Amino acid sequence: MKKIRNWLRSRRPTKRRLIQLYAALLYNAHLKGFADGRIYTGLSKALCVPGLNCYSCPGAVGACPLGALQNALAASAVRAPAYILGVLALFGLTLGRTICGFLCPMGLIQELLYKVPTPKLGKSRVTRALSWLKYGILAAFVILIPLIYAAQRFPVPAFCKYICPAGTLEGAVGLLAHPDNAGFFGMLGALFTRKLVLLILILTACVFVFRAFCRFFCPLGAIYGLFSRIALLGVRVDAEKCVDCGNCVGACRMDVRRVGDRECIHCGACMSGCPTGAIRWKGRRPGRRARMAIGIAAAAVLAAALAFFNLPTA
Amino acid sequence: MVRALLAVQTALLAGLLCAETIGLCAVGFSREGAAASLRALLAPALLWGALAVAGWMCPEPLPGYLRGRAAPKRVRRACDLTAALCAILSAGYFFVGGHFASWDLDRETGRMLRWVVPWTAVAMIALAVRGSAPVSQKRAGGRKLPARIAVGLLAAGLLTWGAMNGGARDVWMKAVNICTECIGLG
Repeated sequence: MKKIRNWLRSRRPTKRRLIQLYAALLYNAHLKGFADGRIYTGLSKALCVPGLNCYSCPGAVGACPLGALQNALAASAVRAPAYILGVLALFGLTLGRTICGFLCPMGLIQELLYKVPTPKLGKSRVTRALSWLKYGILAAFVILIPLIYAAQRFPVPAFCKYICPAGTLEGAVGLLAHPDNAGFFGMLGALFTRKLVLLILILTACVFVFRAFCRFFCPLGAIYGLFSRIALLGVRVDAEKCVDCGNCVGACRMDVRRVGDRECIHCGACMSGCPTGAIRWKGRRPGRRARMAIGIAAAAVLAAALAFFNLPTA
Repeated sequence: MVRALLAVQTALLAGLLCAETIGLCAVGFSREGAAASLRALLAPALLWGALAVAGWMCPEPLPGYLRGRAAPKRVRRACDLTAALCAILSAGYFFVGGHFASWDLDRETGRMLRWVVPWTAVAMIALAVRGSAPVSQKRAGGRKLPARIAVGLLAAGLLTWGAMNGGARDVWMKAVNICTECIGLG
């Protein structure tokens, strides 16, 4: 009995995991969308969620920042993409890549897949080199192709169309699973095949490589990584306590060279490796009462969202 | 042993899923076809599940991580130059006229990838050869407050401008319609 209790205790979800689950549920609070096979069309979809969450997912209650960016750039001949650039700047400044570590449903899926007990590929100079690939994808598929076609008044969300696994997994699989959307099957062809094969390959890679999509392909992580130096939230190193032992980089599963750099997702895994306690969260830790109040408020927000977004329609 | 078997079974299951997807594309997608494919994959999936459960019962340590190591200085410079050159050549494709002129996106993207992918591969190899030495974790503090204030004001200004010029409405209008391109309908 004690063994079972200890086994369960060692596998208790961490606070970070609970926050990831909370965020995934909050972004997809329109649960009845899965039941009736329709996406949410309310006003909250004018707001972007911080993480990668396809707005064609039946449960999505907000917009995807990456999809919104591509569409705004594609329409930039008509209207300046100020709104989405402001949203990304705000998310980057306040949260930075803490979003990747705590608030991204795709990050959660990747971490859960990594738990499958297969042999794992550790990080190396090859993975560090591959981490630059996401900047190329950001430049080519998210920025340049939509902008080039914007001049021709032809909207092309190239990343969403050709690469995004969130769209295939949450949007396509989520909608096609419902019997009422059987008519969509006739419209599937080579594009869907390519996207689904790419999704399968990415998810398989995530079983063997920690956060393979996040590290090598995600343009949203690339954008937020640009704000790593100035983001308000995240981990930081106390220079006075640090002895440069390198344990933090060794304990980290991302391709960081320095704690808090553009590759850091601020998950806090480095803290356990630090012998001097030099790594801590930015800002001051709220007191016990404040933490309780935040927890109660968060639970109330989630409950209210679940109730509101699943109200029966007249 | 169990973990190695699970790795093989994971790769096999992924391969079978890909093969079923391509097969469905060849005969035409349908709900019944998708259901039949999933039923065909039930046995391998159950075996995978059993191996996963067995694997969880046998904990093994995670792989160690390699410390940073950089190539000699001359090699590093050559690799940096190579990577920069490849990036310029890749980026140049987008700025040369005549590309992306047609609305046949599959053809245009295919042409783009045929040019960009080899150069990107060379750049990746150069960066991998280059490596990176360990750096000190004691970063100099620096003045972050002016940058934060500037970005904060920029974000506020862009959000206000965007809300006034209809940017939020555009996001909403796109998000409340099923993005057929995002889900692979084209």
